[in-house]
Amino acid sequence: MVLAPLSVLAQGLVESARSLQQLGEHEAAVVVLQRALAESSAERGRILYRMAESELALGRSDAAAAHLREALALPDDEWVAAHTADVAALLARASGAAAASPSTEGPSEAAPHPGALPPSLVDRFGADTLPPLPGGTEWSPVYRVQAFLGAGLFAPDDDFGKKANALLVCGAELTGGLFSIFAFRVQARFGLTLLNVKQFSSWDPPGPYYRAHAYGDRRDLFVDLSLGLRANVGAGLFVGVGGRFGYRRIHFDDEAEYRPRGYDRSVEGDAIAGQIVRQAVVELGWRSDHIGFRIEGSAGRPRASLLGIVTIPIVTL
Amino acid sequence: MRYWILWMVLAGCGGGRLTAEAFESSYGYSVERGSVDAARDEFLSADWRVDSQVGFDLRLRHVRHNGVLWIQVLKLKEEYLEMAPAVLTRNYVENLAGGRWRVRFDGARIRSRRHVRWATTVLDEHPALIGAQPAHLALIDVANVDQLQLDADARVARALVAVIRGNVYWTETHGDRQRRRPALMIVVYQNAPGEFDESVEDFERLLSSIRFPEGP
Repeated sequence: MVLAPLSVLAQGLVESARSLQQLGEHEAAVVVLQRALAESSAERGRILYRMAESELALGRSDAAAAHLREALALPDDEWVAAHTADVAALLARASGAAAASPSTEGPSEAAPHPGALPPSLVDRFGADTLPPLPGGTEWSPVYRVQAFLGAGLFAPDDDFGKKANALLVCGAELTGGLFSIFAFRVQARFGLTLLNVKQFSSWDPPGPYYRAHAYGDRRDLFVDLSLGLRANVGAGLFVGVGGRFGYRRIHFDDEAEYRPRGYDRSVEGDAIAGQIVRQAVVELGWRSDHIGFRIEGSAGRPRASLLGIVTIPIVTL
Repeated sequence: MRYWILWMVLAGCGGGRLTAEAFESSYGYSVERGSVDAARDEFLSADWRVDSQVGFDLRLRHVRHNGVLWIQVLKLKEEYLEMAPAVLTRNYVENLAGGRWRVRFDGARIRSRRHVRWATTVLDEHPALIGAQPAHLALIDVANVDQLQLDADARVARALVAVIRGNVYWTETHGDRQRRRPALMIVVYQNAPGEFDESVEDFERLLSSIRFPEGP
């Protein structure tokens, strides 16, 4: 077999590269072999093989594998034809193809080398041009209807005594984005005191009564509505302010006596009174898409309350 | 077993819902299950069973060999939105190296429990259209770095990776506002090199079974 002759300069470069490889100077050998490739079109397969040897020694397995594939793909290179097994073995080492089986026929479309994508996959999904990459959407407000449950303390300040009591609240609220980091909150709430506090109260009620007293288990019921403005400060945290308006019903169920003005006779029965709720509200909390927690403080009439509240989104629009 | 609470929490955060007909992802796409026995957790064919989905959208294991098919969806950061699928693919494969397989695209890796270090290399790649979505295919080899000290040719796995940059979205929420952001969908078939060729066709079937939404 007659190999295509290298030019004198290219032959010298290849021999120099071989010497450098034997000395372990693979970086320099690669540079010299690149020059040899530029100088001559003959024996490209042999030069590519030598270059791959040095690249592999330098740990550049990707480049080595690419050069070996290029060598195997050369159509009329007699050196590659004579050394196909060596080239394929080095390629297997470079590309990690343990099952590499060098073929004396060289690579073909029907039997790609082990490091290639399956032809059926490329035939089925391969594309030369791709459509534009899709983008996302702009920010838009989210509206949530959520149920909440909370508990805490409230301190009344009224004619019926000043003892603090435990308060349980529940209800529903609507939240939604306004602009930037701000959001609104509208809440409808029902509240109930938890502790049975035996209390005695005596007062001068308005109307036809001039004196009354009550004794027994005191219960307070709240039905109110609140509006608030929130600032979402990041990481799910928010702070908010607002106002609450509603009605509080106060009930003593054991004993009460009303003595109408101008009469000696007493009227006994349940003592019921009402109070308009007017409070300022501040809140601090954290919320995810699935649950939220917040601490809510309020002050006004009744005097104050401090509640811990859990919210569960029911509907998100 | 010590981590059963964590596993339950993570499992509860899965990105979709399995029905008898399909897997419906919270990212908007779905995967048709095929004519299989859903009661036996079969998916695609009788050879593939739905496996633990912790960390994945969908993960299937082969009943006779070590092959696994999985789908992951990764949130794309702003700087990657205009990056070509081919570059995203190479970055993903690069990020696989050094840690375990389940990695975040931004490079943050989950520490390997067994301190296994992987080396990865792309053997071949090609642009692709999967369900009319822009994508890139790659064939990669995976080596255990410690095993290479004994045998330089040792490969623990070979994998086909499809990186799809199409109509797959995640919802970014800030307070009471939200927007839909593009996500990166990764579909992988991985097997030991010796049995790799046996299920390449199933990987193609999985890709063909994915249905994408029209838009965000």
